[in-house]
Amino acid sequence: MTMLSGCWDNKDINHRALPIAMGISYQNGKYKIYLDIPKVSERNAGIQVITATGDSVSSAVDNISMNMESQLDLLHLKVIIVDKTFAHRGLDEIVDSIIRSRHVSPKTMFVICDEPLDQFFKRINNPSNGDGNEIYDFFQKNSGWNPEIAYTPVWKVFRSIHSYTHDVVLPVIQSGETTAIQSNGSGILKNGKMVGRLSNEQTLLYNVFNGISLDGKIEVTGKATLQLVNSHIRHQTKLDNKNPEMYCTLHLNVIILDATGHPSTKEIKLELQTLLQRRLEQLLQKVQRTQADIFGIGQHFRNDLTRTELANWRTEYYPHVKINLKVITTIRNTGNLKLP
Amino acid sequence: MSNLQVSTTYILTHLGLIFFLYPSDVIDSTNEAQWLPVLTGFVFHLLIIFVYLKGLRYFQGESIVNILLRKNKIVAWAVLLPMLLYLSWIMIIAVRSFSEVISIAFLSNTPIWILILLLLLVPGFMTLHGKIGGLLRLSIMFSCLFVIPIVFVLATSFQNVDWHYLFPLWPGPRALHFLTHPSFYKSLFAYSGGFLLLGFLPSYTVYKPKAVFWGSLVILPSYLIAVYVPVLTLGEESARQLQFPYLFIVDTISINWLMFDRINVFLLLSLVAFCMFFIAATMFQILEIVRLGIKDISPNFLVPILITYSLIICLFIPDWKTVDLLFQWNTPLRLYVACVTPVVVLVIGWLHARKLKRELNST
Repeated sequence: MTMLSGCWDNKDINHRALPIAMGISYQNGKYKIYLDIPKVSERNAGIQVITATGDSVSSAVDNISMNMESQLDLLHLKVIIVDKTFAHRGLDEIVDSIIRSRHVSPKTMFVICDEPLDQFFKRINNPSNGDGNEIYDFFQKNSGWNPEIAYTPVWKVFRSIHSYTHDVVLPVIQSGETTAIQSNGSGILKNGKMVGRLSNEQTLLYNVFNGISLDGKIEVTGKATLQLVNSHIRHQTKLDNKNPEMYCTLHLNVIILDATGHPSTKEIKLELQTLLQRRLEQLLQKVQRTQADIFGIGQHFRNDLTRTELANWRTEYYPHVKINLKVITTIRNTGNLKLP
Repeated sequence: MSNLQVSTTYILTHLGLIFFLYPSDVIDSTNEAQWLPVLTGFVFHLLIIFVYLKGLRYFQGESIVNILLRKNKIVAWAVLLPMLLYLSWIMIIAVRSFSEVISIAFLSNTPIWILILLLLLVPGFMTLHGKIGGLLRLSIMFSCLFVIPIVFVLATSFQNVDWHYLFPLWPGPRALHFLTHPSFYKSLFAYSGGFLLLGFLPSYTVYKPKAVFWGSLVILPSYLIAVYVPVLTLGEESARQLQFPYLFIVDTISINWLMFDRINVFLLLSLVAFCMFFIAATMFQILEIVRLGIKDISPNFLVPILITYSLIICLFIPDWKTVDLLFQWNTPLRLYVACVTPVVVLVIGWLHARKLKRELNST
């Protein structure tokens, strides 16, 4: 009897439905849930999309579970797709319920969808697209993920909801014309609510700034195309009478892929520096307007501010933050052709 | 060898307690600079162990029950009775809370009484069959089996830390504010849960106090990791929302090359084994007090009685809130046992030594 306790009420794997993606849309006070369940059959092809509506997310999931012939198991859910209305309304409740129930792993990715979920799920599961795992592969670091795409699991959103100094961005996607999925930049999330958008390029800068190591990223500067081999960033901070200042040194290691009009390496370096500075400035102004600290800048001032001051970081200090960016570029090689 | 066995026993009984409730208690007790409550608790722990071992050293090879009973009976029972109450209390809380943890963490469909029974039968079997020698040897086996998964999980849990959360290191004038918070005293159970066992060992094995102090150096990092990894990953505000902060952090680790998606299972299985070990050690102490202090009843009767009555009491605890409340109520008794027992042993030992000296001089 005691030996059996681990298998109590166990259901075999062929009696379980294991969705890989869940869509949540919010319309007129009702939640509509979409579950992407790979078909487990001998031919092993395709995907099944099941939908249900309910007053809350869990009641909608319950409705699906009730109407299905097998046990619904959300343990292996990899991606949660929400529509824009739901993201604007706030993800705090759904994040809380995910973390409370432990049925969904905190490593699950959050994604915002730019088009109605009905249409999205219909189009990505078009059999001509592939085996139906695109939505999963698209965000996997060892398959389809690219540095222009934000990568934000549930636990980071949870941290952002309660944190004084940390906000996140979520990838924004829609179904593509020629590919299954198309990336449309990312959405800025402040305390769990979507408050703005970033373009794909800005997301790349966000990833670089947050020290996510990027391999094989191509950066166009008008004079040349560069491949980022690796990057790291150093921060120094100064707090001067409620005016936080940050000095960042970005070390980039690049390889030249393409050059137009014979620029010298010096010109390329200069161009890259001004380009990144301009972009960062634009990006910072944008996020400061929304008061969402997606770079976690407040983190660097934890030593200078008391806890009560830190609680007001987003409103009192963050809008006055100045960033001085210095880019140090190493051109590791210029490919098979020489440059002047 | 026996020194090593005592070290591992001491480490294992404590490891089982650190990773579940302790982090959230410490995080509740202060807003910043969590190292202060952790180190304060640890110094307190070292102090009681030092005094306790010092007292025990006066009597070579005698169990604490015998030491206490050879003098004044009233003093002896003023120490032993709270100790007995404390041990049975902590055993019941441990069984009940671990069963709830297992239920929350991975066996959500299994009825709770089965888990409670499992957590009582296995340790009961360990105490009944192995006696203390078996437990000591078992500690070596457990360390060999579980040291690799535990170290692996502890190391990988640093995956998502943001070291900025370490600051500010010194919280200013409110630095000692945690001393007024009840959660801090609740967190002390992770320090006082296993130390009594050291007093029961001398009649079975010989060990040097150094073995225990080396062991405590091994568990100090575990205390710090259990508290700091959640704080560094999520920040104080978010970590405070969680029931079991450390277990949550282990859930967020993602390792591409590992075929297991949830490495939490490694940690939990090792910890459950340690918890069972802790419960078995507690059972052994209860048996010793009853057998040496009250009546020498065969363990073949005592262990089943103990299991049945613990099971019944555990089933009467309806929810997590009550478990928490019992923990809170347990605090004064815990402090009494942790402070009074070592001091009384030391005083008796000192008096004993002085008497011996006087007798030696007079002859």
